[in-house]
Amino acid sequence: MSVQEIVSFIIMGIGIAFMLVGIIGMFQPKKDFYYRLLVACKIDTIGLLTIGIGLAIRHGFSFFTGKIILIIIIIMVLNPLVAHIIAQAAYRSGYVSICKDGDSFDH
Amino acid sequence: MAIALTTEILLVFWVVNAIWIVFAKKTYRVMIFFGVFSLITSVIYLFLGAPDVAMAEAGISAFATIFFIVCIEKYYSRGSGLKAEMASAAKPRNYFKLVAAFAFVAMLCGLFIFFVPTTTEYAYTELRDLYLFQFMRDVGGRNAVTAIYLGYRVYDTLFEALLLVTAVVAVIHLSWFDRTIVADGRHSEVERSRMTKFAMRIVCPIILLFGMYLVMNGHISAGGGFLGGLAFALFLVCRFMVLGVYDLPIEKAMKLEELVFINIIILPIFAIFTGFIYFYGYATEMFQNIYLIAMNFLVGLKVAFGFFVLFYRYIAIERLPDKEEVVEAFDDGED
Repeated sequence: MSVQEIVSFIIMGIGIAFMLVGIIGMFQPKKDFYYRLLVACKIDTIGLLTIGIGLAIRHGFSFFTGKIILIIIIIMVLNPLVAHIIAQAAYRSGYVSICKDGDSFDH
Repeated sequence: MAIALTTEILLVFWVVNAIWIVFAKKTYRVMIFFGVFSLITSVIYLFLGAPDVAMAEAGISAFATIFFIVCIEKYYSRGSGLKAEMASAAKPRNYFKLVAAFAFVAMLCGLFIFFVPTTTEYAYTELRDLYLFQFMRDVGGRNAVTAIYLGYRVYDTLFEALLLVTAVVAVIHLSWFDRTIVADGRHSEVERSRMTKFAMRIVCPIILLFGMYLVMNGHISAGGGFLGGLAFALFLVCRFMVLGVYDLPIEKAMKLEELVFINIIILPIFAIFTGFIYFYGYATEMFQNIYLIAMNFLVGLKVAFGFFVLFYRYIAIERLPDKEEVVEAFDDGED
């Protein structure tokens, strides 16, 4: 196993760890919609990003890597936008955050 | 060998999941199980060596799950409410289920990351080898899946297109569409933020381009009519939802869909059933490619208009202000 493969496996493992932590965060006892949306967006963006980077390192310099980099750029631009649209729609439909201004996210 | 074993484990889990779907007590749980079912199906397709069918399955299941959940929410918003159902379903936490879910997700992730990219092996290969041996001579093109659904199994494709037509007609005529007042030139009433609009103006043409690429290269690489049609439908839906463009009224879309369906029937009649394109090596490669591209394009348009009409009917039109009359009419009919 070359150095390239080991590094890529480590980076992809970090991505899977991010996804697991995000899923645990989505099952938190305090069911706040916006908190969960934040966590879900983290899963999509950072998890997919790290896994994509790991794949790109693993395959070296090739056409396949170019496609992966294109996908990474699209995810980086569009995923936060999607979270923004969902949050905006939820705010307009009248979802209220459970967390108050002072004590947000410290439970 | 390992792939075959994994496929068998997934098939067992598939059956278990189907039993869960049948015996689930809450409707939204049925929808979630249905999504998991489609996920497992697409993984199995991937292991059996059909990546484009797996892609189409994943895309269509994501679309369908959103439809179903929106419908359930609308249905319950008349009476007890989805929130009430979800609150009644809230129980003390079951950590075993959580751990099982984590294990399942970790298993799938591990399969995808460490296993699939390192191998080109597929599960059961006898029938696959047979088709791969002779499809280029019989149907043409370089994609065996396209050769199967546009050549060997073209009857299946015709009936699948008929199924979509029937679904659209049933949805339109059973959902009191003629009592809904739809004016031409009406926009989506939701005003999106400027950031969203700016990004969508850039992304929408790219989605259309990607759909065209999938359709035009369907016979030589992964892709095809159904998948490209989904991309077309996404283009139309994004334009309506985000930019508020309503230049394709629902009646026109329905007419176009029926027209395209007639063409889908006519083209194989003249190309395949007369033996002009298909089999026996009569046709040149150019004619075969023209047939495959035209058929993929028609199927793509068909899927695009079908999903677009369903989307309008379920999500867009009932959000419009003249919703009250429809609800009244429906209640009268029920009583």
